[in-house]
Amino acid sequence: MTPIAMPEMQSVQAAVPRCGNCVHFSSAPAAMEAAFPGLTALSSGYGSVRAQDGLCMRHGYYLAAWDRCGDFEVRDCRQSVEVSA
Amino acid sequence: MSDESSIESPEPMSPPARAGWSELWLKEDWWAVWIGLAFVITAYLLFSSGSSALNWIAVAPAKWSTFPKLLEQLGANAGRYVAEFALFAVVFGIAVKILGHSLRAFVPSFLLVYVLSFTVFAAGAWDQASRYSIEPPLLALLIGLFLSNVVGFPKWLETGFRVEFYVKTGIVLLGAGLPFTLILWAGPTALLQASIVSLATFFTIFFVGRKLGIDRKLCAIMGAGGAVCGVSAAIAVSGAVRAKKEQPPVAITLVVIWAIVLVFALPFVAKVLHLPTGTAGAWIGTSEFADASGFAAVQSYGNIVAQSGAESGITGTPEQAVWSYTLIKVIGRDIWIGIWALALSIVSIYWWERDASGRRPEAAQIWWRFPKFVIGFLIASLLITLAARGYSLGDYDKLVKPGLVAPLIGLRTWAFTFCFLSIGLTTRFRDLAPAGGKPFWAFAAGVTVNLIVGYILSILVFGHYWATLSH
Repeated sequence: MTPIAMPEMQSVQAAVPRCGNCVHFSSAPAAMEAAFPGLTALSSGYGSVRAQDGLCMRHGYYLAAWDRCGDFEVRDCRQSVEVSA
Repeated sequence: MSDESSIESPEPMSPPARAGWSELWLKEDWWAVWIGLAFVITAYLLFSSGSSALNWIAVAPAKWSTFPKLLEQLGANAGRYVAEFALFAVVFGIAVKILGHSLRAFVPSFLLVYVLSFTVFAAGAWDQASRYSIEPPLLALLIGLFLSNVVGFPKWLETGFRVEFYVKTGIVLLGAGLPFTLILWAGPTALLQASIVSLATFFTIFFVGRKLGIDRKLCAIMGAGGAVCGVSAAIAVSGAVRAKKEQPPVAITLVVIWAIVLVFALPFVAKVLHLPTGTAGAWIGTSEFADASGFAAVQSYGNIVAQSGAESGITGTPEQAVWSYTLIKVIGRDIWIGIWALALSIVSIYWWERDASGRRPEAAQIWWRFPKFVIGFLIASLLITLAARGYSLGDYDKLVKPGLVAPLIGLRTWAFTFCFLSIGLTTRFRDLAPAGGKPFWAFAAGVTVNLIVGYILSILVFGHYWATLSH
């Protein structure tokens, strides 16, 4: 597994100050299922209805990836995304 | 936004949110579409070439009277069951692997689900099953609840308990048995009825909740959960209104508990009321919150009526119950979740929580949140309707139904049984968040209004319409 940079378009998106690009935001489906007890009983973290919503670890909100606030800190995609070489 | 202290992250280094084309392989909804349509297209190709291979593989226990007879049946069809398990394990396994689960954990977990499903099927096929009121969907739910709450199992074994994945796949397959013309004909009525009930339920929960002093966001989340599509609606609206992290679990607890109560209550109340199957399906469609639990209730009622026979005086077929339920629930309620989320995000941004961050409502969420499996359901219905177009009703019953539709119904029944079991296997009451008295009463008020308005519309206003639902 070799860490590589995201494609150019996603790097540009990462500059947009929205929650989906923020270091405090987590939207991984498995993490959502672990965070919300009972979610898997009649729904799923992997469903379309959840869009790209996730948890803000700074403020304790569950919100949309297109939400925003004044505490935005850009996430460096290259640090966290690994793609098989 | 308030400057609250940081909370613990469940996965602090998780990758950023990804959208776009990758959703085609990173969302369960799309996998349900691919798998369901692959079955439908394969079934059509095999039917056209005169092959009965899918009929061979879509095996389930037939009626039996003694245990040795059941074992004899199992022995004679062992190869078919192995092939059926392998087929499901491969298609679901590929999907869950790409979604990010461990295949090594999924296979034994799914084997358990399959074996338990066989047990449920076999119990339902016992010739004394009706005498002991054994309904396979309810039995599956009870077995699952018993195993998860009393026996327990290791965490890794939960990988194969994918309630939503199985029910979405089942719904796509269900499209193959529901004529597209019927969707066009009955869809508007379903939409009208479901919209009235949804609005009444939402505003009841919202205003009762506000009267009890509950936070308006939580009122909206609970309202959506009760009015639209259960936990999925609650979680979608939570994201849309920027919920506090503690709020979605409250709505989840209430939806799960009420959904399970209604799964057991509605079929028996419908029987006491002697409701025709189509009418009962419509009522259950307006009253149950989640697709999965609703299908358990409606399938049980269809079985109860079928086993009771003509002497019960209840009219209709099990398929009619499933059809009217699906029209009300999927067409009338599920597909509007994006609209609800957008409307509530507008209210949240411009009225409830105005700030200087520049946040705006996102209209595109109507599509992003759209339950994509509905697309597969509609395509499946259209494909089979077109495939059957050149046949008379007699030839349809004689050729198309047994050769093309029946194996797809067989596979659908398995998928739903996996789902019903998984509901029980994933519902651990001790793990649910405490909801509190006030949210409970607000939600209970919504359930009461929902049941009454749903009854009036399903039985008194549109009763004849739903009772006579047919090709």
